[in-house]
Amino acid sequence: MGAPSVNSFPSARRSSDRADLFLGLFAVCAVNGFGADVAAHLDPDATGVAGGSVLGMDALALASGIIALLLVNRSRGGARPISAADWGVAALTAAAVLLPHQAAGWLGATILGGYAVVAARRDVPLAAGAAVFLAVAVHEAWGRLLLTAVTPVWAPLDAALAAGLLGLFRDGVQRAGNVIDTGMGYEVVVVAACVAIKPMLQGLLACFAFTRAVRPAWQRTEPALWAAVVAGVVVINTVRLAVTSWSLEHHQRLHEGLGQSLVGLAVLAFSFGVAVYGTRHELFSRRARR
Amino acid sequence: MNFSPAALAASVVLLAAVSLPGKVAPKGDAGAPDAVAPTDAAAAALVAAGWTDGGTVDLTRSGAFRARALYHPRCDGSLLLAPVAANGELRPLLAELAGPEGLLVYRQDGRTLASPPWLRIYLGRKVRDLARGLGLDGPSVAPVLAVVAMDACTRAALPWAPPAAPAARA
Repeated sequence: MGAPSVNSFPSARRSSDRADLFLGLFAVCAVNGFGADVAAHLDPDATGVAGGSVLGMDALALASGIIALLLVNRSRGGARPISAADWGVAALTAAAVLLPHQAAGWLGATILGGYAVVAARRDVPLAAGAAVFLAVAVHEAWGRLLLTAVTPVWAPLDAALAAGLLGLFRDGVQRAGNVIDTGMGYEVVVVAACVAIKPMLQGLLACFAFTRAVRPAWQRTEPALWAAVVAGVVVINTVRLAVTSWSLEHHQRLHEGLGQSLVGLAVLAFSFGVAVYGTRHELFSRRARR
Repeated sequence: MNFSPAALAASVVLLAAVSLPGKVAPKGDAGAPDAVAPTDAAAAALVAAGWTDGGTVDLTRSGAFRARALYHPRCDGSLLLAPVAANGELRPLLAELAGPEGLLVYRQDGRTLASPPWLRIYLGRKVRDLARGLGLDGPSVAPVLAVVAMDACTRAALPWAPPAAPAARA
């Protein structure tokens, strides 16, 4: 038998440490957050299922949540004591999670994640896991608030970009607010579901979770990766809007179903590509060591 | 305070077991606000003021956005009543339909508004859903109805007082 791992399940003799407490609470937050999605999915009155979902749970968010739990788990066994402030935030998180609202789990993850990112910044795996949990909460809950707040501003911007691209290939294209007059006798309305915010949040989550999984320690150059993801997603979404506006047939064939899946894949592939580029030193040096 | 791992695990499992039912319970009407009742009420008020109900029209070819059209005997143009979401995705389209001669205003809870407080409405709905989950009444957040007068004639025939102009800055 080999020597016991640092991360093996703790014996009954030792006390729980900070990472044990945070891991347990993050797990409860995730169970509540994703549990609400599963409940909504199993609701017989549910009207539809989003693409890329597993039993109603967003597959990317689920994978990122698992990465976050694994990162926090790596911090266990460090015997860092639980402070009074930790207990206070744990109580606040538990109170938030108990609220009877679909977003309560993500509210708890936001409180605990925000605290852990700051208070446990020297415990790199724990802080990294907390940051990923925070990103999942933003993607799952706060992103909807952001979408509501910025759609009136962002939708005309996306429409302007798509109309500009369409106008390079066709005469008579005009834009008023979030309405694109295609010059072909029909208009396309860029609604909240079409704006780049949601795919942008997906791309940022994919990039952030992948980066933290490969390199838990934060680097100052990372905002440049996020900016690259944002720019890439805006380009992908602009091309998508322009292509679906090209003709009614294009719209019917590509707006949903295969077209929607292709756009989702393009966003994820680009975002992971950026993350791989950002962590190339860690990835390639690991390969070299093997 | 020291917690044994077994005690911590038991507490976590208990917390999950107690908290999860609140998310699985039926949501009630936490989703989209009821758009039919306020549209019907506003249409009835207009019919009482001499307008003719022209039924539902599609605002887009896909039929995703619809409005109730009403006609006044003195006017050629129509008046549209359209429920709008707090994310404002329909507002530019409605503004374009109104054009320079027409008027786009909003009706909420019996008041005519130039621009409703969208974010407060969105957050109010979330607070209301939370309060209902706790078994409380919660704040009442009335749906918002867009009123589009498509020309000067329909604009003049509107029975509702136009919203007050914003106060000039000193």
